[in-house]
Amino acid sequence: MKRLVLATSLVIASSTAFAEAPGGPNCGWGNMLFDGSSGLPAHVMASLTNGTTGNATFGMTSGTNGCDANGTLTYGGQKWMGLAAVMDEFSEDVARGEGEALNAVAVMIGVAPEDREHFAAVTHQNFSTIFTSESVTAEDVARNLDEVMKADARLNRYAS
Amino acid sequence: MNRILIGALCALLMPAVAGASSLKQLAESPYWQRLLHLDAGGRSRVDDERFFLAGRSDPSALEELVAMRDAASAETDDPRTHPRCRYPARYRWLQQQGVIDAKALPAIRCPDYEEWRAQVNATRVSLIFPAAYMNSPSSMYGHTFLRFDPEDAESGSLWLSWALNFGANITTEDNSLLYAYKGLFGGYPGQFNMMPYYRKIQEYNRMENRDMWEYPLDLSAAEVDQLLEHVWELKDINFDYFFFDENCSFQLLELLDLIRPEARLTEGFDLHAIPADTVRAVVNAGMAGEVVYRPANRTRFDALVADFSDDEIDRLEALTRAPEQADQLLSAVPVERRQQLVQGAYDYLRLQQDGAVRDEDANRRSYRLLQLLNQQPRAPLPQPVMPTNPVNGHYSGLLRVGAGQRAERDFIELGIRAAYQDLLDADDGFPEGAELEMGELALRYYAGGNLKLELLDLVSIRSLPPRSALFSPWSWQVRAGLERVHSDAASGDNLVGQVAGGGGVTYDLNRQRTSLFALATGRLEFNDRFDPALTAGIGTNFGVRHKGRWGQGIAEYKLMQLTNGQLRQRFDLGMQWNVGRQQGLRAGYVHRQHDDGSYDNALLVEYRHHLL
Repeated sequence: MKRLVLATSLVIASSTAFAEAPGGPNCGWGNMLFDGSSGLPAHVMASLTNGTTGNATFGMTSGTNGCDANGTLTYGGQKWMGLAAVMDEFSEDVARGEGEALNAVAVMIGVAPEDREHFAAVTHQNFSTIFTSESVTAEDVARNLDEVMKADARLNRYAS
Repeated sequence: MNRILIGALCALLMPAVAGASSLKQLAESPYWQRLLHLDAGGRSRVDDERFFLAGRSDPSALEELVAMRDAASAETDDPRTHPRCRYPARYRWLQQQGVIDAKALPAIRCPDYEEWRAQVNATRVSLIFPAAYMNSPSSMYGHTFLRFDPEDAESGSLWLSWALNFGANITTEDNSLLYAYKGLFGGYPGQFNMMPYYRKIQEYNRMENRDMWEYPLDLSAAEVDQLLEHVWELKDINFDYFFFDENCSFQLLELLDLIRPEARLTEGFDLHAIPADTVRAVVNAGMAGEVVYRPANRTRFDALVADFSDDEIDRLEALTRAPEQADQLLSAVPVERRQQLVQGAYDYLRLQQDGAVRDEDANRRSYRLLQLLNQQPRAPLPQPVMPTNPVNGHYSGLLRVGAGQRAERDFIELGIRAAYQDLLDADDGFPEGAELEMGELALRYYAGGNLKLELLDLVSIRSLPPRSALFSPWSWQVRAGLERVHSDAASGDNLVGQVAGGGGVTYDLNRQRTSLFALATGRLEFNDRFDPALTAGIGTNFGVRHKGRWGQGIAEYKLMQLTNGQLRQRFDLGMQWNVGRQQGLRAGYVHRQHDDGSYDNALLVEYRHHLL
C-alpha cells in the first residue's frame, strides 16, 4: 500500500517537474536516453543561493502538468511517468544488472521485494530489447519493459 | 492514525486554558512564536502577507492568535483554502491549548493537505549536506536540506524519498550581475519546495560532482508529523533570501527548533549561518545518527580507475573514443578486469557529457558502451573510501595571533577570518587543493609605531585541481580587498585597494602529495601614491605545494608588472603544522624585491585557532 503511495508520488512529482505542453521539450515522455541535464542550475550563483529556476514545486498534483494533463501520453497507467526522469541512471543499472535506479524503478512499478532480484536479472538479460538505441524515448522504454515483463512468468503480474 | 492518537494524547495532557485572559500569555508562548517565525524583536522572518490571517504583514503574535481562533470557526466555503486546512499546526496547537473547541466546529475535510500527507508519507528525517565540488571552491560554502523517508524505505527506494529544500526563487530573465547582487542581498524571495530525492542526487552527485553526506536525525514519528504539519504552512510562502544569514541552513535550523527547542539550534546563527557549521550544531546536539556517505559520480570514477596502469588508462580512453574497436582493445585484458574497464570508459564519457547539450555521436558511443557493459561478466567494482566527515573538519571561523619581524622591525599581528579555508590550513573534511576565504582582517603593530590595518580581504578563492591523462581542469584564483604594498622608498608600505585574478595549470608529482602550479595573473589596483591612482598589471605566479604527515607547505614566486612601469617580485614560503583539529602553528617567510632595487624580508610565526 505504501509502495503504491510512493509510486503515485513519484509520478506526480515528475509530471509537475516537467510542466510543459505535451510533446514539449521538457515533457518527460519526449525525453530520450542521454538527453543530458544542461537545464539544471549550473550557474555559480545558482548553487550559492541554491536557487530553483522555474516553478518551485511542493510535490503537489495541482498546477499545470502538460505531460499527462490530457492523458494521451500515458502508457499503461501513470506509474511509468517517473521513468523519464531517471532514464540515464536506469539504463546504466540495467546494463550492469544492479543499482539504486534499477531498484527505484522496481519499487515505483510495484515489484514486490522478493521479486526485485529477479526483475534485475530479467531486465539485465533484455537490455537491448528495452533500450533499443541511443535515441529511445521514455515512452518506448516503458512499452518495451512492459513487454519484457509480460513475457516473464514471475513478472507478468506487474505488467499493465 | 498515528496523528489522531497523538493529538488525542496531547489534548488529554494539556490543561484546558480557554479563558480569553490567557490569550496574551499563549501568544507569548515560544511555540506559537516559532510557528510564526518571530525573531527576538517580535518581527516575523516571513515576508509574505499570505502567511498571516490578521490581514496585514507582521501582525503581533496576539493579533495572529486571535485571527486564527476566529478564522477556525468561519463558514467553510472552500476546504482547500480554509485556515484549518492551510494552517494545521496552528490549528492543532490552539486546540490543545483549549482556545479552539474542535467539537463545536463543523467537521471539514482538507483534500489538498490530506493528499500531500499521503504522498509525503514519512516517519524519518535525514539532514543532507552536499559537500564542495572540485574546482568550484565557491561551492565550499555548502548547502543543506532535509529528506523525508517513509517507514518502509527499503534499500534503493531512498531515491523516492522527498527532499525539502529552501532556496531562492530565481527569475531567469535577470542578467548575471543583477542575479549575483539579488542573491547576496535579498532581492529574491526564498521558498521551500519539495521534490523527489533522486533529483537532488542528480543535481549534486551527477551534475555538480559533489559528495553528499546524510545525517539521519533521531526524530520520532510524532515529531516528524509535527514538522510536516508546519512545512505545509510554509508552502508557497516567501521569505527574503539572504546568502549569509537567512539562508537554506538557517531556515532548516528554525524548522528543527520548532520541534526540539531545547537543542537551541538557531542560537549563534542569527548573523551568519554557514551550512557546515549548522550541520555541526545538529550533530553536537546529539540529534544525528551514523552518517551515510553518497559519493559523487566523479568520486566513484576516481576510485574505479585508481589502480589502473598507464596501459589501462590508454585503453579506457581509446574505448571511449571508439567502442566499436572493443574486441581489439579488450582482447589483451584479463576477463575479470574487463567490466571495470568498460564501466570506466562509460563513466568517463558521461562525465564529459553531463551538463552539455545532447551530442548524437557521444550518445551513440555511450549506448555501445552500455551494450558492452551488459555483456561483461560481473565482479565487485572498487568503491570510494569514505573521506573525513565534514563535521570533523575544522570550524569555519579563524582567530590568529603572531609575532614577526619585517625589515628588522619587530611586530605583532592579529587576524580574524569569517570563513573558511586557505591552502595551508588542514584540509581534512575539505576539498583538496581549494581555498575559499571570506572576510579576512589583519591588524599589525610595529614596535614603537602604531596599530595599522595590514589586510582586509573581502574574498579570496584559489582552486588548484591537478591535470591528468583523463582530465584537464584549469586552475584559477580571484582576490579582492585592501592590502599593503611597497610603492616607493619614501612612503614605505601603503594601503591599496585591489582586485586580482589568474588562470593556469596544476600537475601532481605524486598523487596529491606534491603538486606544481603556474598561473598567469592580472590585477587592478587603486593606489593613492600613484598618478593616476588606478593602475593595472599583469604577472605570473608559480609554486609548489606539499602535504605531509606533519602539515602543509607552499613555496611560491609572484611577479607583477604594473602599467605604470613598476615591477614587483615576491617569494613566499609558508608551512603549517596541524597541532590539533582546531589548532595550527604556521611560519611564513616573505622576500620582496621592490621596483627601486631595494628589498626586504619578513618572518611571521603565528598560532591559529578555528572557531565557530
